[in-house]
Amino acid sequence: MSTRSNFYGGVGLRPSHYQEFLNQASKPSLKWLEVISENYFRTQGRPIKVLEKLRENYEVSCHGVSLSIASPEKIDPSYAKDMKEFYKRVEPFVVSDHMCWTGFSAHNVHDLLPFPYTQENLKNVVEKIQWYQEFLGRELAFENLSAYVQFRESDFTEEEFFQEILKRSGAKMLLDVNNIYVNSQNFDFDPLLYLQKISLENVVQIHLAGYSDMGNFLFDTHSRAVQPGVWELFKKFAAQKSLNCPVMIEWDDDIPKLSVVVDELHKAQEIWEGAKQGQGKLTLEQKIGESIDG
Amino acid sequence: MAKVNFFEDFHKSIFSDLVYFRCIPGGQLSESQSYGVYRTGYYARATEALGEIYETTWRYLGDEDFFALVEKYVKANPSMSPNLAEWNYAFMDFSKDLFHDDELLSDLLTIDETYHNKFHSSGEYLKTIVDPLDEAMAPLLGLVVCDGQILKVSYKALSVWCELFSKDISKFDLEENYSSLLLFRAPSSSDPHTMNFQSLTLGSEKLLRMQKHFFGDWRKVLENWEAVNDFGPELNENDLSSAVSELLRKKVFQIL
Repeated sequence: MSTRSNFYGGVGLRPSHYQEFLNQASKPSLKWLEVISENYFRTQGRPIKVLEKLRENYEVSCHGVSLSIASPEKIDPSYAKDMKEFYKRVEPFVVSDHMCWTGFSAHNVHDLLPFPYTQENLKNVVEKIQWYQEFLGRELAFENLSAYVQFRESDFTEEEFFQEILKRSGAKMLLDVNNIYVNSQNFDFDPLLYLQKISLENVVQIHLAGYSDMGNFLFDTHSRAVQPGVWELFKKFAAQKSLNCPVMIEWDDDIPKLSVVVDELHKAQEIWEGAKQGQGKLTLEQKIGESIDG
Repeated sequence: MAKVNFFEDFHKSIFSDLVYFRCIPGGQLSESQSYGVYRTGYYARATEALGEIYETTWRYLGDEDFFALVEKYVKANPSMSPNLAEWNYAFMDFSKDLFHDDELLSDLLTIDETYHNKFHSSGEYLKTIVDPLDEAMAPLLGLVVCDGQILKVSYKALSVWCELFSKDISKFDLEENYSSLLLFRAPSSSDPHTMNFQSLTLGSEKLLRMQKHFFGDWRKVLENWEAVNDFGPELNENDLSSAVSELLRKKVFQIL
């Protein structure tokens, strides 16, 4: 992959869009696709064949959901082996998962669960990241979560914890703008302050998605278009000169036609390019405190 | 070593109304409600994953019964795999045990699971299926059909895999062929039959619309089936096939 001085946009590849991608007439002109790694680990059938076909035309990033990096339990060697084989097969430009744990005592709940940002957990996460990076022979990126609980036991804020992880492990960050927005509303903090603590040159990918307003909390559902408040925050993030990485749209539930998802990406591109053109007019510090409710 | 009791207590809190680890809840939620968000997500994901595999079973049971079945299943069979799609490891046997009087459901579970397994299997294995809509499919799957039933064969790759296994994927027709299979028992015979009444290549939107209106309520299909039966016992098998086929085609055309 060459320079990314311009917008570098992708979407999440979902099985309901396979046909549209395979059809030459409906195939969108995108740069890259993000795939959910575990969906391809043990299949020998159509999913992996379709991915290999699409790989001829698109770059791919691999996004995992079951690494469970914050779990105190031992690393599952068969999972690590599946990862390694899959990444060797598709040669992704980014490999990512989430800063979370996903189950207890071999019971996988298939969710991205939060944990207290303590010194103890920091040490555990760093050690596991280092093990995986050495085993895989490549760096990993980790995504910030949307969460519905936080813990008084935390020694760090999420952004401080992330920054320590990046510094100590050499890992990178996948910045999910929607998740920051959802958390900022659910836990009442300024999302621009979050950005201030992160080394933006370590951000290797950005996610955008739609949340659902449940009335008494915001729920990260990925089931609808990106909401105005998230676009507004994205615009402010994009205005940061040191933030220059691929951007993608996630849509995982009530998935619409591919063209709708691609339209969202075009909107992201307009905002990104507009923000980049306006770089330098306002510093991050000047923007902090502005309302992001849009 | 991170604190194990946090992880254990959080896990227990997800599956209980009790809060085992105190938290700061998000939004205007209570602590218990916050953990409840994860509980809701747990069952929703299980339903989605299992519903994707057992699509026909879901349609046959309807939402209420299928959701209840999934809830019972996941309580008895937690996922042990990092791959959500492998959560079905005991679903077929569990469901057959639960509905042991329902022969048709048993068949549908077998069909769903067999298709799923074929879908994720290598071409060499799939070579054994020449045409999924062929009557040969019935004995292959050990079908015993108790009543008229339409299955949407939405396992999109099957036509592709029929030609497997070539090393060159570019030679494959990667079009997704959506077909429909009618399973029925002729009035004059105790033998089950299968019939491919339509083979369509549709965009996903059109397919979903058709699915919703046409395949959404299998009982309506049975009403039509009864209408066919009204032709009487003298109807031979070929006539029956034509009549059913015509009936279904008309219905499809109305929707399209």
